[in-house]
Amino acid sequence: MLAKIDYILKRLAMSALVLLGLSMITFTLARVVPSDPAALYVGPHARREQVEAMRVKLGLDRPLHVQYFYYLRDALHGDLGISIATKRPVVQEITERLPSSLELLAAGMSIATLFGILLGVLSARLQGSPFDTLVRIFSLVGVSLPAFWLALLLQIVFYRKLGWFPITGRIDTALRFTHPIQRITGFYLIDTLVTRNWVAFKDAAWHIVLPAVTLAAYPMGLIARMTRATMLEVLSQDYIRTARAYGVREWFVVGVYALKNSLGPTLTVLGLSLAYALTGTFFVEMIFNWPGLGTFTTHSLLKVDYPAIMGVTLFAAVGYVTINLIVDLLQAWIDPRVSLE
Amino acid sequence: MQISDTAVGKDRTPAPQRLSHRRLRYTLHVILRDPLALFSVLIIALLVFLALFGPWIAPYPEQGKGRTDVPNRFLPPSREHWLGTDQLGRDVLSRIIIGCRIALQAPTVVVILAVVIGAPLGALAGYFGGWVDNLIMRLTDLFLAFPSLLLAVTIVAAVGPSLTNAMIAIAISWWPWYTRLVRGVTLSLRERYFVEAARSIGVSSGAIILRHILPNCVTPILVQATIDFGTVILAEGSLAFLGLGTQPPAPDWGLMVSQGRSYILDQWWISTLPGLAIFVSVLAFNLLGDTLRDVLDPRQYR
Amino acid sequence: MAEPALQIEDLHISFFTLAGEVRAINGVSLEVYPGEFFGLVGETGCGKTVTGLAVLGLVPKPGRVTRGRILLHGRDLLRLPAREMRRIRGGDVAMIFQNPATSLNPVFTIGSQLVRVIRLHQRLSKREAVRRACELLEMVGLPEVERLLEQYPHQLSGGMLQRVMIAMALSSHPSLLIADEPTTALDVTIQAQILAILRDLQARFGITTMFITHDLGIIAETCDRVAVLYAGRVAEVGPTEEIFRRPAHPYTQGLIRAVPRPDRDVEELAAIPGTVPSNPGFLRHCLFAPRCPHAWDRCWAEQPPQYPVGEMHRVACFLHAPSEVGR
Repeated sequence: MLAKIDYILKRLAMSALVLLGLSMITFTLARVVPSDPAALYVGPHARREQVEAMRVKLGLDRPLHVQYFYYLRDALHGDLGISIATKRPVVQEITERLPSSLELLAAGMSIATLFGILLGVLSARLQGSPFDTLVRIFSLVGVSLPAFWLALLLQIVFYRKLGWFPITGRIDTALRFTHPIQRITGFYLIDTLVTRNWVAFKDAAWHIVLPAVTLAAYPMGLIARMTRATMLEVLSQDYIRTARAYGVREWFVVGVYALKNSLGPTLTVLGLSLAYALTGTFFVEMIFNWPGLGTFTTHSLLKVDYPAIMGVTLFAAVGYVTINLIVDLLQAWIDPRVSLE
Repeated sequence: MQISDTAVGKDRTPAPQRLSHRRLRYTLHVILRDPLALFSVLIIALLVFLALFGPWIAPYPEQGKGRTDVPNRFLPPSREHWLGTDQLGRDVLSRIIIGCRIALQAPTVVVILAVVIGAPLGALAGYFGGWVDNLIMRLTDLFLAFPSLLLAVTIVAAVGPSLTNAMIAIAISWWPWYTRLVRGVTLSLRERYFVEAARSIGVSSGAIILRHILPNCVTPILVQATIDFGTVILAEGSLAFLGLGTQPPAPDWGLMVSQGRSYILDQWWISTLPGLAIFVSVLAFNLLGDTLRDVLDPRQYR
Repeated sequence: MAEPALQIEDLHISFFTLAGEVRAINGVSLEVYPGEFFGLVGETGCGKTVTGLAVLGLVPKPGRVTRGRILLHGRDLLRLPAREMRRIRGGDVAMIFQNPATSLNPVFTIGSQLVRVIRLHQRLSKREAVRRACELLEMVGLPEVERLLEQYPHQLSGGMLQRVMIAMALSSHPSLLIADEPTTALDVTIQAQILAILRDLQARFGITTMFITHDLGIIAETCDRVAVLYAGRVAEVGPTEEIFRRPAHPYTQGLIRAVPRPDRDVEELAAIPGTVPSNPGFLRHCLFAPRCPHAWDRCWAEQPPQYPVGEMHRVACFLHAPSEVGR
C-alpha cells in the first residue's frame, strides 16, 4: 500500500513537471507569433498611443521571464487571458463549451471501448474464423480512415441517401422553444433523461449518433487490435489451460480470467486512442457543426485569436495528462504484479 | 501511456532480428504470397510511380496544378473527366494524381527527420542511462504528453500555415516515438554479452552504439516507419483540411476535401474522392507495416 | 485383477499444422488400476503430456484425437457431451501441471481461484467453500492458510504453489489424478516433499494417480507400475520392479543403462545412439529400429504389437514375439 502511495506521488510530481513544460511551450509559441498581440486587441483603427497603452496593460513591455511568471500565475488562478475575438475570458469560453465536447467525447469513447474490447475478445477466441478476419479488416480500416472523410461519408449515406440521422448541431433548433432543455450538467443526454424530456432526449440522441460513431472509428480499431493481440497471448498461457482443466465455463475463462490479464495493455492503448479522439473532435465538431470546444478552437485559429488558442491548448494538455495519469494508476491497481517504480 | 515504463524498456524484451539478405528475401517471399500484402505493395508502388511521373500521366496536368476552367465546373464523373470536375472546373483525377507528390513528400520528410532526431537520442538514453536517460525521457514525456496532432496544430498556428511548416510541426511531435523505440531496443541489448565483450576489449561507446546497437534497431524502425508513413499522410491531410498545411491552389488531398465540403451533398465526388485517396494510401501503408511486423518482428514492440 | 480405472485403447493424436500433419501419438494402449501409482515415462517430446491432456479432452489446437478410446470406469471420455466433460474436469479427474508458477492466474488471489473450483463441483456456500479450501491447504502442509487465501501467486514459492495445485486437484475427491511432471520445475529438496505428499495422499485416499515424468529415478522410487513411451507408442508396460530388474524392450534397457550409478566407475556415459524420429506417425516399421542394437528385418517391415512377457508385463518388441522367443 505504501508503495502505491509513493508511486502516485511520484507520478503526480512528474505530471506537474510535464505541465510546467507544456505551459512554457504554449507561452513561447504565443510570443513567437510575428504579429503584435496588443495591436490585435485594440483593432486595426487604433492610434499608436492606444496600442502602447494596451501593450503596457498586457504586460508586454516586461522582460520575457517576467511575462512568463505572470502567465503562469494567472493560469494557476484560472485566468487564461481574454479572447481577442469575443472579448470574454478564455476560461469562460472554455467552460461554457466544455460539456458539449465532453458529451461527444464520452459517447465516442464509450462506443469505441465497448465494441473495441468486445470485438477484440471475440476475434481472439475465434482466431482463424471468418469473423476474426472480418474484425481484423474492420479494425485496420478503422485506423486508416481520415476522420473528416468518414464524417462526410456518413453524412452522405445516412443523411442524404437514407435520411436516418441529422447532421447539424446537437439538437433541433425548434425544440429549443417547444421542449427546452433544463441545464443541469450541460450534457443533453443526461439533462433530458433526468427531467423526463423524452422528445428532446430522442432528438439529442439522434444528433449525437453520427458524430460519435465518426469519433469512435479510430479508437475502436486501435482498441480492437490491441485487445485481440493481447488476448491471443493470454489465451495461450498455462493458467488458462488450468482453468479449463478444472471445468471453468468457457465464457468465464475468456471473459473474466483472460480478459483481466489483457486489460493492462488495452488500458495503455485507451490512453493513446484518447489522444486521437481529442484531435478527432476538432474535425467532427467542424463537420457536424457541433457547438463545442473544437469549433471554438477552429474559429480561433482562423481569427488568429492567440489567447484563446493557447488557452484551449493548455487546457487540453492538462486534461490529457490527467487522463493518462488515471489510466496509469488504473493499470497499477488492476495488476498486482506491476512494479510501481 | 507516456510516463510509465512498463511497456517499453524492460530487459525482458527479446532482441529484434537483424536485416540480412536472407531475411529480406524471406520477407519478399511472404509478401508475394499474401494477397493483402501484395495489394498494399502494389498500391504503394502506384503512389510512388504517380508521384514521380504524375504530370506526364494526368489527363489535365495544368488543371492538376491549379488552372481553373469555371464553365466546366461541377461536372459529374464522365468519359472526359473520369472523376468529375470540382467547383472551379478542375479535373479531379488530375488533381489527385498530381497530389500524390505532396502526399508522399510529407511522410518522407517527417519520418526521416523524426528518425534522425529521435533514434540517436534513444540510443544515447538507453546506452548511458543515468541522468542522460532521465533528461531525454522527461523531454520525450513532455512532447508525448500532447496529442501529436494538437501540438502540430498549435505550432503551425503560431508560425503560419504552409506545407513546410506543417511538415516540421509534425516531425517535432513525432520524434519521441522513435526515441522510445530505440531506447527500448538499446536497453535490451545493453546487457547482452556481445556488448560487454566489446566493452571489455576497449571498444568506445560511440563505436558500440554505431556498430552494434543501431544496426539492430533497423527492423523495428522500419516497421514503425512504414506504419508512420500512413499516419503522417493522415496527419498532413488533416492539417491541410484545417487550412494549416498546404495552401491553395496546390492539389493537396486534405485541402481538396475541405474545399469541396460545402458541396458534399450534391457534388459528392469533389470531397469524397480525394478522401478516398488518403484512405487507400494509409490503408496500404498500415497493411504493409503489419505484414512487415509479423515477418521481421514477431515479438512486437508495442 | 479389478477393472481398470483408466483404460486407453489405441489412442492416436495428430497435430494439423501449417507444415502438415504431425502424428504425435500413434497407438498408445495402457491401463491404470484403481488405487495404484502409475508412471508414464519417456523422453521429452514422446507425447506423454499430450496423452495426459487427452484424458481431460484438453489437447490444444491444432491437435486432435484421431482414433481410439479413453475409458474412465468404462465410460468413453472422448464421446461424452461437453457438459459432462466439464463436470469431470476437476471433479472426477484432476490434473496438476509442470510449472506451478504459471499455472495459476496471476491477477486473482489464491483463495478466489481455489474457492471457485470448489464451488464449481460441489454445492457449498461461499463460507463453506472457504472453510473447505482452508482444510485442503492444511492437508497439503501449507501454513497460515487464511493469509494464504488472500495472497497472489507471485507471492508464493514454486513448492508452495504446487501444493496449492494439489489441494485444488483434491478438492472434489477425484478418482483419478494426472500429474504431469509436477516436480520438474522444482528444486530437488522440494521435489522430494511434493512426491511425499502425493504418495501420502494416494495411500490415505486411494486416489489412482498417473504420474508423467522423464525421470527414471522418481519412477523407481514411487510408482507401482510404469509404461515406457517412445515416439508416441508404448514400448513396454509393467510393474516397476519387473521393468527395472528385467527390462524387456531394448529402449528401456538403454534408458536404464544410461543412468549413471554413483557406486560404479563410469568411463563413458552410455547414451542411446541416434535421435527420436521427428514425425514417427508415418513410419511403417518399428520406431526404435534405427537405434536398436538387436533390430533385424522383421523390425523394419512392420510395427510390433504388445506381447506379454511376465505378470502384467507387456512389451512391444519382436524379440518377445512367441515365434521369436529363443533368439
